[in-house]
Amino acid sequence: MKLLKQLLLLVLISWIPISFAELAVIVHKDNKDDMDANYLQMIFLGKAKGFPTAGKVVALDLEESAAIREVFLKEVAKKTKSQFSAYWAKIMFTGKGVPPKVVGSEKDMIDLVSKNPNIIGYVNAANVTADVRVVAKF
Amino acid sequence: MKSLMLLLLSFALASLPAVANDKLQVSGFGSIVAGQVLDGSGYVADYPNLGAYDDEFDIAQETRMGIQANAMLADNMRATMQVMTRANNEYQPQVEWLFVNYAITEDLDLQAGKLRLPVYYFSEYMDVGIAYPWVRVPSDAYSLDLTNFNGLQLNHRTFVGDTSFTTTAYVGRAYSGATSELMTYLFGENIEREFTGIKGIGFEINRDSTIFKVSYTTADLDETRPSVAFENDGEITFLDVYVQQNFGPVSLMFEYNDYDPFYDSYFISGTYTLGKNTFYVMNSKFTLDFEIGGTPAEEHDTNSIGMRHNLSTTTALKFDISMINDTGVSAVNQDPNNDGDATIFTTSLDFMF
Repeated sequence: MKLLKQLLLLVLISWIPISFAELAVIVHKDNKDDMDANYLQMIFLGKAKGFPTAGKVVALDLEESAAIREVFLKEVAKKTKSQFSAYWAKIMFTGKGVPPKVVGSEKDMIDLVSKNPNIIGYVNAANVTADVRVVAKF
Repeated sequence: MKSLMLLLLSFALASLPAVANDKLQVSGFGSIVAGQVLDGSGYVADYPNLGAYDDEFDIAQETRMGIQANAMLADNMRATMQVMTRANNEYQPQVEWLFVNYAITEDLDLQAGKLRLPVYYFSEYMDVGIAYPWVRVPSDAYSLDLTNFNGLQLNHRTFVGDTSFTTTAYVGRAYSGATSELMTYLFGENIEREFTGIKGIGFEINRDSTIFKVSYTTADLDETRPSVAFENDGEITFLDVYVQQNFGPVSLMFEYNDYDPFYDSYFISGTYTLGKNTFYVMNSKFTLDFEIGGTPAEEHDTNSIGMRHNLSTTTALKFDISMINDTGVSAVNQDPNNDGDATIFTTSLDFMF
């Protein structure tokens, strides 16, 4: 009976859509700036070049295969995968800017954010460590 | 062709150390476009670069590819070069953009070099098929013979909440080979055009659901053609207004421009996106300001329907059927029967990397 319960639970968990994963937008621990969803969107679309007070901003992105990226696109960038890609094609090929640099893993993301106060990134909230500060959750 | 290979090779080599030092980034885009006139004598799909189809299947009119290199020279300075090769120019590589971008402040950039004249909403990326829903930007409305200029451009960006404001000011001059090619095709003689004292300003408001852009440009035109009687010299002005409104999966777009003293044109389009597919309808119209017996010397409009299917986030397949209706006195497409009406089918594969 216990095994059955565990099995059922497992089945339930596996059924929860990926988008239910919680997203954490992270910055360096010394960065005390608070930002609302609009400001974060402007940063990841390259429209805001700096933090409200903490200076220049460098945004990072995860690989397309990262599950948490779907939440990021929906909640922060507010674009579909294709729209995000087309948006950056526009910016890039008109010399207006360069898209967020893509890092290979959430571990690398946390590592880079923890070392550079100019960097902003995002990870699955479950993977956040004490090395970084969470500015927003979605 | 050899120079293109050399270019590609040099990009490839240059990008090797870049991976290590983050100083250089290479990317590119392209479109393989094939079309055929189903009914009628011909169809000019791309005025600025003179891409025109006839009744034989043709893959070498609008097919193009661009490679761009961005080099970080300093924290606030970036050099960009974009080289494009076009099938209808026998794949001769051509430098489309070559400039240095200097970030004066976080909100203000200065660009110096060879740039795209940002008169239309889609001017700066009309070659980047992956960035828009149609097979091509509306040809009747995107027919300005002047696409690039050499000069300076200031870009100022700011935002309030989720609304961004961009102001652009530019000065420079232009002499374009493609210009004379188009003019020569349309008027049957070798025409050279030089634009000096180009001065322009653009302003754009952008929200997720609403976009508004207006631009105004003036320049001095100096034209040279063998039959001196019709030389166009003097001041030209170009006014353009663009509005887009999105309603969830539906987008409506409208653009109007007035090129004084030559012509007026506009386009209107609606798109509907369902998953990986976007369906569109579009109407665009060109009217020359010069009339013969009360009828514009050149006037035509195009109705298009088509779709875009995203194969991935960086590749898309598109299909389009366009019907051009020629209502001017002298026909476009050099039809001996003086009727430029045509129906054309086009398909494209657009990509970026």
